[in-house]
Amino acid sequence: MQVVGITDQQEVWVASKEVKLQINQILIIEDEDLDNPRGEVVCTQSYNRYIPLSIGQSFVDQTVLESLRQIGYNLEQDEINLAKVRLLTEATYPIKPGCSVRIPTFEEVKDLLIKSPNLDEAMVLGVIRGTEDLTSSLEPEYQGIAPLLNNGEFVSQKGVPFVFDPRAMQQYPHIGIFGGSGSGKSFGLRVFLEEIMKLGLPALMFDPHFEMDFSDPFPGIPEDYRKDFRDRFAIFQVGQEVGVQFEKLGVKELTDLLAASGGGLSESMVNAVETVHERRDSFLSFRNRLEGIREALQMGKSKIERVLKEEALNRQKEEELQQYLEYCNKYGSLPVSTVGGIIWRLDRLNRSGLFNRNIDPVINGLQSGKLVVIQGPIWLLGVFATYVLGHVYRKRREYRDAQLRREAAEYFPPFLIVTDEAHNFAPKGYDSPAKSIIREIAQEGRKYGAFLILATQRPTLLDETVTAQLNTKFVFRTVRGTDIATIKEETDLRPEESRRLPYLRSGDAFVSSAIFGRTLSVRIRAAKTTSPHTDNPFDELKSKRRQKEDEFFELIKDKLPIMEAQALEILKDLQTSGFEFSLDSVEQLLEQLNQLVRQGKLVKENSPFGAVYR
Amino acid sequence: MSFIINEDLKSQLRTVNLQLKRMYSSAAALDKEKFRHFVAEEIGKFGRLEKMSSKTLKELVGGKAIIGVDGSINQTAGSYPHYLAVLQALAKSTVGDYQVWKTAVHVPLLKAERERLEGLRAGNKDIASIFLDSKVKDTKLAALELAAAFQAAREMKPFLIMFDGPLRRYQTRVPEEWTDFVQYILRENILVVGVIEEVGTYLISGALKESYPYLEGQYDRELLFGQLDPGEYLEIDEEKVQRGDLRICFLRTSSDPQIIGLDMLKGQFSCFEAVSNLIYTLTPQDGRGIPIWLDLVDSEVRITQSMLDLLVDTYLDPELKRKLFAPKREERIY
Repeated sequence: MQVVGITDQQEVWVASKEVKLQINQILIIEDEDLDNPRGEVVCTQSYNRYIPLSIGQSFVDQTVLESLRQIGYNLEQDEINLAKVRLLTEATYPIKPGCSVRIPTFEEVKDLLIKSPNLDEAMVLGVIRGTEDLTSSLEPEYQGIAPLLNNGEFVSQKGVPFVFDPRAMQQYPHIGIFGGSGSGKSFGLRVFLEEIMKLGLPALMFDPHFEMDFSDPFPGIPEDYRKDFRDRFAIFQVGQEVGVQFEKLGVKELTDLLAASGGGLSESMVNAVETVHERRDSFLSFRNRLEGIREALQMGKSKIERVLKEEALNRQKEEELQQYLEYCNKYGSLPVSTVGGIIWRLDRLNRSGLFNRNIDPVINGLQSGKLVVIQGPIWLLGVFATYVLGHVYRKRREYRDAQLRREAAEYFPPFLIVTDEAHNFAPKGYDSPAKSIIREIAQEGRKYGAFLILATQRPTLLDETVTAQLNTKFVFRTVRGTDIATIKEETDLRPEESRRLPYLRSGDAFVSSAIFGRTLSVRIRAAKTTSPHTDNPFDELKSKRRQKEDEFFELIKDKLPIMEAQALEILKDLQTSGFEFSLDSVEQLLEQLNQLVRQGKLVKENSPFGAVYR
Repeated sequence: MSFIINEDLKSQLRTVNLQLKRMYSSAAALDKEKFRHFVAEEIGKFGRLEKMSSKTLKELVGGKAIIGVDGSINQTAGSYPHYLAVLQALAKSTVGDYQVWKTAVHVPLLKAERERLEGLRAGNKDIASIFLDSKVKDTKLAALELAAAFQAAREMKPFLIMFDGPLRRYQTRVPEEWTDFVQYILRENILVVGVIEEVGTYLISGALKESYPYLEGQYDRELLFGQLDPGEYLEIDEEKVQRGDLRICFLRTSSDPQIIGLDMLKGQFSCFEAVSNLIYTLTPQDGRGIPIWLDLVDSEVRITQSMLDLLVDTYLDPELKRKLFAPKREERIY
């Protein structure tokens, strides 16, 4: 390998006959005068002068190449590999053309690739691409820790592991994970969470897809790589195991919750909630008050007064009406429809079970260093996140502030906040319940030890204040032009790299990080666990249908042969047998039988009395 | 550049076109079927080539080498005798990364060259020196090529040696070396073939001149242009056309309608089928009809003009170079 052509202080071309060069590979250029600078391959080309790209001239076809090979000559051996190599630090003067170039040993480039001094305290997330040639010189502790997946099969680690030190987040906080669907983003998030659990870091994950379960080992995982995470995480569903305590809700939180439950709140609704809600209201007291106000407003003040005056009432009714009268005086200005709208939204929240539970399980989980996964529909998750984040962040902040003031306070650990579809939690351009708390954590979370890991497929839609605070970004395959533009703006990806974004393999990512100071190309390691729903829904549909058909066949088997004329009778029998198929008419039954004929299970014959199924 | 085209030039070109048309219309009038019929009757026979399968090919060659031989001449700008030429010959083997290079520098200014030229002239003052010089050059190149081939034959004991060009060239230019070479390869059972890209013979019109006097003077390549189907060959009967100890055939090895020629030794002609099929197999279907190995050797043996200039600049004194080899027209400003 040697430097060819015209060189400058930043870039050289390297030509090699024997070695195929790989993009992102690091090479050592042996220019003694410049202290053997290191460079990274940014562009590769291959050339064979015997196989030119010629239009209109003769073309060497495959059969001739094959014949040549048969008589002992392989044209491909005349291939020349070219690579554009960018120096990692600018040289003081241009590189000497013709000087030789070699592949380094691990030791020579370790400082560029590994930034965490202690492997036990770091996350092993994947393998740095372009370092395959360093495998043999790798220190034993770095070997075999990050197997990869290739077409669903485990393959052993080739190259230097990509290791991320969470301690570096103290200086460079927050992580963004960007990538379209199928890019390996969720998979990457899973690997991240596995490493968080491995290190025992308290973390809070909001999982709108119900996919972050770590109980099932990845199919085909080698025995020595397997790890049981079952005691390292806890899954709670909003409304089932966790919820909010209504009594502790502030009026702002309540309006947020109500807004999230039904497409926003109107000005007058917000005003109504603020007027009606009282401190320490329970769900029931608040709900009853609203109900009373609605009744009162519907009756109208004059009617209430008339009834009170004219009718003989028992004491209970009288008290009720007196109460109504009071409501009329106090809340007379509220429109009935507004109050009705609030009740409707409140009931929706209540039906979800939100108010029946509290966040104690979440607090306990974090306290014991677990990964707490919170699942729920995205509308509910947004409001719940607002509530729970505000709560735990306050707890952590109070502890830290008290420490600063040298006061005693209850310990609350630092924690990570992980979420997929982050653009729903902190969207750009409009307000959402969780946005302000996420912004606050993004801006000053590192002071208190609260860090964000935000995954989204639409980085363009993520709030810019938040995006700007993400010091490390994992960029998976991205196809959408606007998102690529955003990524270009927000990372130090070079033009060559951003051009590659739409073509990245699933599971490959660029890591743009202030910690490394340059962009690394990484392949995410194989996960140890798998998502509970990796079944294709269409396969499921097919198997269910097959099952039903088998069931149907079992039921009619004894009744064979069936004449078309008997269909009605058989239908009645079937309906009483409790068969689940919705067979409402003779036509449907016949269609079902024809289906079995098509499958070859039955034979249909024509007879003078109509068709006969055998 | 003159943008006004001379009327006289136009009319002359028109006349040339007419003359050529008249000359070749008689051959064109010759019906394809009829022509083939006469050719088959009078001069040889048609046959079909076959592409070999990888297996047959491997078995035929049996792991031995195929050697391609080609030469090149590069010369500095300037006209006789103020120039310098680099002659190179290469014999390259398909196996074992083996090649033989033979190189010579031809400088007509040197005394020895002048004497040699005069010897060739043999007192005949009518022969232009420049003609004799080109003959000398070609003889030297032929000698280099044959020497490279001979060395490769001895060292590699190949299956086949493929020359770029007719074998007759060696026979006439370097007869003694050729005889030695032929003796050797016949003894060692090495096949030899000359692949002729630009066929310069007129065997057909010569043989048919009695029945078709109007074909007289027409070259074989003109008559056979488009007459053979891809993968077809015409074997010339050795009784009807005497060519010493060589035999020639015409092949259409690709979709290009122009034929190529194949020279073989009479003593090896029994292997014609194998050799021609091998060549056909090694020729790209859409190419110009030359086996790829020769194209490869050709591209390797040629040095570029800029490379030659560089070499001359490096190894010759500047004043010598300026005095002897720098033509005035290099300094034209337009």
